[in-house]
Amino acid sequence: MPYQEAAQLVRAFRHGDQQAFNRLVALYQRKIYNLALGYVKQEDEAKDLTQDIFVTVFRQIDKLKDESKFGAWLYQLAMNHCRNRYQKLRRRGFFSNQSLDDTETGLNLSSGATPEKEYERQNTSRLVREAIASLAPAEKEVILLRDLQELSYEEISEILGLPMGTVKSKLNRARLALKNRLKHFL
Amino acid sequence: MQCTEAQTLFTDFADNALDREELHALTGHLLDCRTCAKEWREFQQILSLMHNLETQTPPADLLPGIHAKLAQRGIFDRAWALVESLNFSLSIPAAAAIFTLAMLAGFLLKTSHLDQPGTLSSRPARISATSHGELLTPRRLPIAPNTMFAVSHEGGRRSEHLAPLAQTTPATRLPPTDRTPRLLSPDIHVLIEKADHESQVALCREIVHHNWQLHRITANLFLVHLPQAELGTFHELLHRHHYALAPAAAAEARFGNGKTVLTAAIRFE
Repeated sequence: MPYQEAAQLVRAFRHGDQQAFNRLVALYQRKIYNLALGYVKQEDEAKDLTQDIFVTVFRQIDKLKDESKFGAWLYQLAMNHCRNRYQKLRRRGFFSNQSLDDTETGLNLSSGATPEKEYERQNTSRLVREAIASLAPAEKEVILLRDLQELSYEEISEILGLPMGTVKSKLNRARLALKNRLKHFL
Repeated sequence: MQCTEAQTLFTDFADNALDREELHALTGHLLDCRTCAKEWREFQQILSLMHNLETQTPPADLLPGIHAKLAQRGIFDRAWALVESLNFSLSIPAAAAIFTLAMLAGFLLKTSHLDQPGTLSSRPARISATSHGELLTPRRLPIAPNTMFAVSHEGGRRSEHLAPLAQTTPATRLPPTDRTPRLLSPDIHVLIEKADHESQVALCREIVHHNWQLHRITANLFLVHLPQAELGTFHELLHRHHYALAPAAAAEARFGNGKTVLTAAIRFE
């Protein structure tokens, strides 16, 4: 995580350098977009969510007390946005007609079918992503932060406001739940 | 080691974070238990799948979209940020209830008699006395100074203290409807000069003695309701003091524009 670069950019942005904000977006947009995508599955929603997260960063940058902790602060913001959006979409029934059994997304990895390698790889990725997205929010968050964002336990602990032991036990339960969801495809 | 216990150690096992005893117990269990061994293999497969996931490239229009949203929401966001900075934690029903109550209170205040022009209210601002001795009724236009009439038993000289009273608007200009509270629309404004406490008390006693209604607004401002037929008597009471009254027509005993009850505002200087 480019902590120093982020801290410098935050400082510059706070002093009115709008380009610094653009560079902050460039620095973190891939991570935040993938985090959002992992949460809500759908690309358009993930894009909109990512934009909203950075809009909030722009608006609330003055609330960040320690510039060196921009990354953790950004992830906290992002997680809050993701939770809110997830709840909103769920209330609208956004996830009710999407499941791992969808013919469009389903792929039997052990079927021995003959799709092209690339097609198979892409579909495997999509399947895993959708399985992650279908987890309960508490399970999904630790998986996203640890296994996809590759953050340390300390960072996750700070972002989620949980003791490190709790983070580890939640992660283990989440991984077992994910394994059970993908059991038929292993 | 039980199977359930073994599976709780999978993550630490994958992180190579087990202590020697736990490691020994788990590996021994995995050698003995085919079910847990299979679970562990699948667990590893899942980790491998996740760690091999390629991150997706964000859409090219992500940043322009952020700027568009910032421009679009600029004013709203500033207002919302201000609200957020107040650190409110109201639920939507609570906020709605407060808003409704505020609207209701505003409506009641607006339609209340207390808010009518010239109405006597518990708020002295409606008929207020300034340090200059003016009686102010804010919604009315001031009358011209030449409508003033001042009398004095000391020769009828006009006092310099009477000038501010010229700005007082006579309530007699209001249409005398039944809905216009008499109390709050003085028909006559009286300024009594050089009145000590004893003479104030004496006048008040006389007023009460005549069964006229007396209301004390401030220490120096009183309202009196008296029958029009007794206006002459009221004049007689005033003649004992150094006073002035407005409007000029009120010096006549027949003054009253057809009213049976008149309201006089008396201010002591």
